[in-house]
Amino acid sequence: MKKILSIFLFIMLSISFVFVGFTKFEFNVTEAKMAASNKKYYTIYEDSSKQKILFLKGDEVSTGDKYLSGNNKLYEIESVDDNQKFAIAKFIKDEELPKLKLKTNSQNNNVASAATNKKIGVYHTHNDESYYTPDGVDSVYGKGGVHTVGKEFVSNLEKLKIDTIYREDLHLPHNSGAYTRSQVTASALIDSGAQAIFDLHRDSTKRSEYLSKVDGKEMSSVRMVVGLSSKNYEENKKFAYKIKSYADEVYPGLIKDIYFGKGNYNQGLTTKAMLFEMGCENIEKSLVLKTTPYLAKVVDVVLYGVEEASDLSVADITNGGNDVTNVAGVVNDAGSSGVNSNTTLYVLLGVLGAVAVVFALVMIFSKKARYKVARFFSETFAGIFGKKKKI
Amino acid sequence: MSVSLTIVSVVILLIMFGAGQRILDSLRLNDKEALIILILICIGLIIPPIWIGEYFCFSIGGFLIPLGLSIYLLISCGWSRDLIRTIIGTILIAGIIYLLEWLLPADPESVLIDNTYVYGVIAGVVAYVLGRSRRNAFISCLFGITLAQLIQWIINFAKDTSSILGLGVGGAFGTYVVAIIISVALSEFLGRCFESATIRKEEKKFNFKTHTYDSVKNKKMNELENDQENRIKNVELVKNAEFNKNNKKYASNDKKSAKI
Repeated sequence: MKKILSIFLFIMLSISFVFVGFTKFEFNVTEAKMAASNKKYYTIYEDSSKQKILFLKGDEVSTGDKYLSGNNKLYEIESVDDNQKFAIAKFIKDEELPKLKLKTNSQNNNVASAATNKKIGVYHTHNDESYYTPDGVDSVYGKGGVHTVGKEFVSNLEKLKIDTIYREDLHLPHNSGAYTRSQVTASALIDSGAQAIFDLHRDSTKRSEYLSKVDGKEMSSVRMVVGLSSKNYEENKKFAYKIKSYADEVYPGLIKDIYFGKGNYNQGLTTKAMLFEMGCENIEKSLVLKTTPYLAKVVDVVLYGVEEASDLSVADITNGGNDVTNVAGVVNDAGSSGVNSNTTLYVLLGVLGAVAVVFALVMIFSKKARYKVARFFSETFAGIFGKKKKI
Repeated sequence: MSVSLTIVSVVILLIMFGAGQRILDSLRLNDKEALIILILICIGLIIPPIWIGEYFCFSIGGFLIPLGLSIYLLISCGWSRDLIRTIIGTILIAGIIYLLEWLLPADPESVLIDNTYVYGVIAGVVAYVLGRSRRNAFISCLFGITLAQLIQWIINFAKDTSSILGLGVGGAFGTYVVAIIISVALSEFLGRCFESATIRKEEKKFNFKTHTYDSVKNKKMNELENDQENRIKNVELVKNAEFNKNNKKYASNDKKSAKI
């Protein structure tokens, strides 16, 4: 009976593997095949009549995913046609982003305090992602074009006197295990004391989808992706909203939109983790590189607030400033700041130390306690280290 | 608190309330040992991973302690009995996880459950089907998932695209936890179902000596014990008879010698 059932279970398991492999998912064994599949993108329409295109998105789209458009309208993906690569989104509501009252440059007297304890981590989960111009391909097995964008973003952050840890660790191949591998890198960044971590990607859609004008210059826009499965979803969403709100006010056109996809995207590790889609494969990398100084300034102000942000970052704030309130940086915001893992460790070690001291004192002064502890260890480890001693 | 740490905490509570005694028995642990190990795992998880070089790191709670436990289980249960099953289970789980990494969609948008847990569920089911023992399932899960990571790491090294191997770090520990809990739970519950299914076929009789319901096994055991008891009684009877005979002989001899 047992044998029959186990064989049955094994056969069912094998059949389900084959079924799943050949029906739902593409069996992307070679990188070439994968590159071909990346060229495809989904068109998301605003209604079922398919009159108005809401946005384009590479990779997969799933029912239940959410989307915040550039004009802050929140949609939900209602249905998806995987064969024809389109989806229908339903309008939910007009989302109100947190209003930021900005301080003018002249009133910012505390710029000197900048560059203190500012630490940011940058990495790439999908290292292979590249740009057709000038990389020639959209994917390479190694450090793709997205690494050049990462380096530029990091150098711009450092210009703003932010200590940036840039990890170019590879998480290849570009398959479902990439996020599992990159989680190690993201965790290492947090352990190093990074107050926020940014995962830089590039999308795979049409060039026109990302082409934008910021500050009168033609460049690529940025899409943010927030994980619906992240345990920090609400905080990650707030962080994304703050970034978009500030960017919309100071650099309109920089942040394209926000996509809320199923998945975690390593955002469960900290409340201040974000995935940036830095353009798409069909846009020129030079246009994406132009985006990085603006994005760095946005990150600086949103994370550390006007008071602690660099002089260069707050220089672009131009909207009046009579009603002056500081932009509170999310790092200093008591409500949203995640506790650093090192702090937790020190607290835990402190508690353990205190317990150890009390325990030692009790053991020194109480004969009964010594007897009980000796008996406990004798009973517990008798099976492991040898015969139980008689006490 | 991460999901895996929450699961470990729940397991600690369950053990404190006395649950899972049979599972612990098969893992050659008592509840105190299990509690100490789980608490050590929790503490080890909070400690940042230990890095050896640029490309390798491991977690004390997420990998080192479970590895130590697996080795202890292998040694305590005898190499010959479990080693082949464990090796087969490990290779199969590693192969399936490696395959799944390619089968499942690369981007998390289209995944209902986090890949980390999908690997865990599959590894858990495979470990149960192969081993059908809580011990084998535990060891195969840990070694299989580690081997899958190791394979990709070696491939990346061979392709000159070195990546990080993080054992028990990040999502890897979540996979271990899910896989081990699924496989051990399946072994426990399905094992019990099989046992109860086979017992129902036979009539159960209450044994007034042992105060338990006799199953087939027990019945046979009792029969064997009865046989042995009967044999011992027979032997004793024979001995007694021989002794009596001898006694009689000796008595008659004594009488004869007395007459003489």
